[in-house]
Amino acid sequence: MDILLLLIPVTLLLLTVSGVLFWWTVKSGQYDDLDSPAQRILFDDDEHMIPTSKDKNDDD
Amino acid sequence: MNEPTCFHCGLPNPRQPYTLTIHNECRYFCCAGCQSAAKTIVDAGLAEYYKFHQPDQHPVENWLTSVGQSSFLHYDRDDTQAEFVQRQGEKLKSCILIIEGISCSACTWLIEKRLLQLTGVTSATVNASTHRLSIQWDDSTCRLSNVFQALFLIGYKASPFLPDEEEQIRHRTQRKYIFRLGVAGIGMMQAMMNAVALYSGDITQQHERWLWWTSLVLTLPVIFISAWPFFTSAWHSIKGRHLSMDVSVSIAILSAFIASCLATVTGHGEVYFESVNMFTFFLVLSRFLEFRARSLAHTQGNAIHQELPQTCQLATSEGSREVLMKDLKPNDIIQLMPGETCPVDGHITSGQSEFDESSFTGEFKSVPKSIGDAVSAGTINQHQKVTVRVAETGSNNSFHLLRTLIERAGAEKPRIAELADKGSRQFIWSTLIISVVIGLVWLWVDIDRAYWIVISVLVVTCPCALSLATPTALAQATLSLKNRGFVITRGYVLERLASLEAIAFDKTGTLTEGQFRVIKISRTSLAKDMSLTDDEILAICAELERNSEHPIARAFPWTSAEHQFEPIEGIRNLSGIGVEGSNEAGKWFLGTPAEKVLQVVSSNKVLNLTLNQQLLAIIELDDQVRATTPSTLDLLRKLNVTTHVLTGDSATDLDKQFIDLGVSGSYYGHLSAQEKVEWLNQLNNQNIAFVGDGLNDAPLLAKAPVSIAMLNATDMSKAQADVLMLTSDLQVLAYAVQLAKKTKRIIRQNLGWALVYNAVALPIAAVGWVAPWQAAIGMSVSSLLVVGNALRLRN
Repeated sequence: MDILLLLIPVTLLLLTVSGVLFWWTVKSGQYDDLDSPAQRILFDDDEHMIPTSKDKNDDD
Repeated sequence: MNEPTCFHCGLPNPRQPYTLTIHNECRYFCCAGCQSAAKTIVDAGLAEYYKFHQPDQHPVENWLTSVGQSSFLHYDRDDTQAEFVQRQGEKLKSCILIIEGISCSACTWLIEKRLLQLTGVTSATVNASTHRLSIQWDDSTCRLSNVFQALFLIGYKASPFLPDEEEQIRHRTQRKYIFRLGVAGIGMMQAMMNAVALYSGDITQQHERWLWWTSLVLTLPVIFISAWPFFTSAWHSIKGRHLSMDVSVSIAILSAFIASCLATVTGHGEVYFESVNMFTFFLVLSRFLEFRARSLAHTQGNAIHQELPQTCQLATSEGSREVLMKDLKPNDIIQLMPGETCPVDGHITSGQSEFDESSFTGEFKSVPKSIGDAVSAGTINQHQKVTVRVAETGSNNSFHLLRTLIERAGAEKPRIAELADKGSRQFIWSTLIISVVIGLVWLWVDIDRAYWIVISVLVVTCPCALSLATPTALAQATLSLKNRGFVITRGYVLERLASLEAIAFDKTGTLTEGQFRVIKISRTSLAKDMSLTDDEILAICAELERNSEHPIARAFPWTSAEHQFEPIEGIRNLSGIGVEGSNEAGKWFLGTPAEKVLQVVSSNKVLNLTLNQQLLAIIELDDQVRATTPSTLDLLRKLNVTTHVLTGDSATDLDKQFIDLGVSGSYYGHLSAQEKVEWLNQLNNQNIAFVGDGLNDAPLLAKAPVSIAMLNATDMSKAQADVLMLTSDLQVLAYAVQLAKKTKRIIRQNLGWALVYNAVALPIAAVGWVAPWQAAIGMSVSSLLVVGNALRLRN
């Protein structure tokens, strides 16, 4: 179980990194709108982004 | 077959709904506004909106003619833009607008798509929770008025927004809350994992100490970031010599943390880091939810309102020139074009016209004015160009006087202390005293156990559940009502609604739509000979009224090219009589029948349509009761709420109709703003709500225990209201009363539960049977129960 002595500091380090990243996401305003992004993904207005068979032929 | 509800907004349709064919299917609409918005949306290739949108929208209320829309040009002026537009580089400009009428996320999708279709708009983002639009555009190819117009045509009202100090603080606070919540959440999860290892029991001394130290390190950011504001607020309240919830919260968190730290350093004792983290997390979560519900309600209040125009046309001997409002002096003469709002109090010196004084009197029929008559600031010129001699400018005009009246009434309004703090203050005192007494007793009985028993008692009796009980229920109810378009802006509203005894309504614009509508068309034999249908008659009327700003014109919505007839030219407004114009068929006239011009006008407006002075049709117009009014009155009666009607209008045929509809209280006509306030004073402290919209309602809105402003209310009325109705569905009123009662019940249940829990847990903890971790679990379960109970208010 002595591996804990190593693993726990590693998790703490990772935690610090993720904590800083979290701080950055909040600071850059990514949580300012908590309502619309959750529903925006449901709008099927991305048809132009779905590759059609014609596009595939173009690729070939 | 007619559909019962509007395709665009989902409100009940009138008996003769407006129609539009979309993708080969006939759709029905409740009003011309909704119909034309739908047409614009479909024409822009955005019909997909109707796949996503929830049909519980706001109807498109303000239907403006092209003359009205030209007021958007005002926003292209540099001096107007200086207030709220930022320059981004050489050509780009950006600004923030507040959008009224957003009710679901499909609306944000629609707005963004539509605006990006405009040439020159480089980015447009709508925040669905604050209803703000951030837009950036290229000034050389696009003008700001285009943006306002595009928004207007798809059914939204925009106003410029400039974040004030309070707004920026709110913005920062939200980010701070999210950060605190995230840190506490991460800390809680990690400390819990350590706690699982610790409580598993099969662990060596060395590993245990290691985990203790890890937990200590994990808890530090939670204490210093997430919980710190509790400590500072507790400190402030102690300095201010009153006890807040934060004091006992801070004592519990700090003492558990310090004791756990001591145990970690000395190596014996017990640690409760996970309890500290969990406690903090739940506290921050509940505060955040409460903050969010509270701040969302305020987001509408920040728009820069431009009720009065900033410039006007000064008439001089060489013609007219534009001057700034503040440069006007008494006895100057200004020109007022049709459709313009009069900026000053004054007297007409030339011309005659009709003025819309609805913002003062609530009466939407316009008032004829001729030379020598007084006009007030804030009223709208309807017909012809007039010139006005300025009597009062700036702070002396009637618009400002009304504002002063409102401010005075607002100051007299009793404010009830926040419900949340009421019961808990004494409770905090008693828990603190009890903890100290128990500690003293244990010092005498068993000095080793005294400290942890006191902590247990503090945690177990921590008024966490008690402090969550009220705000969570209130926040949830507020949010739930907001989603229905009933936006509460003051804390005491729910409490008062729960014990509401009566509701007084303004009539025009509140119980009725405040707009003329065609109720009857009688065609003469001549029209039948010409084989004109009702629809064609309406289309001809619409053509004649197309440039008119008169309220009557709104009764004839522009139904576009479905009817074929020669365009009518040379349309002329005959002030107080009607409109005339001619085409190949001859001379058309729509207006009051000549023999009735001199009569006292009855409530129903009767118009004649003539061709070459031969009568074609008689058209009757009247204001209509909102489709949701009867069911609302019915629901309110079932809730034992008396309904009254107070109106400034003269008595009309609608009166009897209201009594039939089920107004259970009294009906008063002819009331001035002052008389309305006196009526309320006579009721000495009855718990009464008032629903209104006009400027003349504003003093009463400021005075009433609960004041509710309608969607189309003037800005000043909105500023006074405790509640803004963002929907024209009146039934939400009854729903709000119901929900307020339910909220009160749930708050009672929650408080009851919290008190019972404390009463049971306190003696058990006092005799030393509860370890601090058990106390923390007990407290958390108790809090979760309370929160869960409050969440039932979400429907």
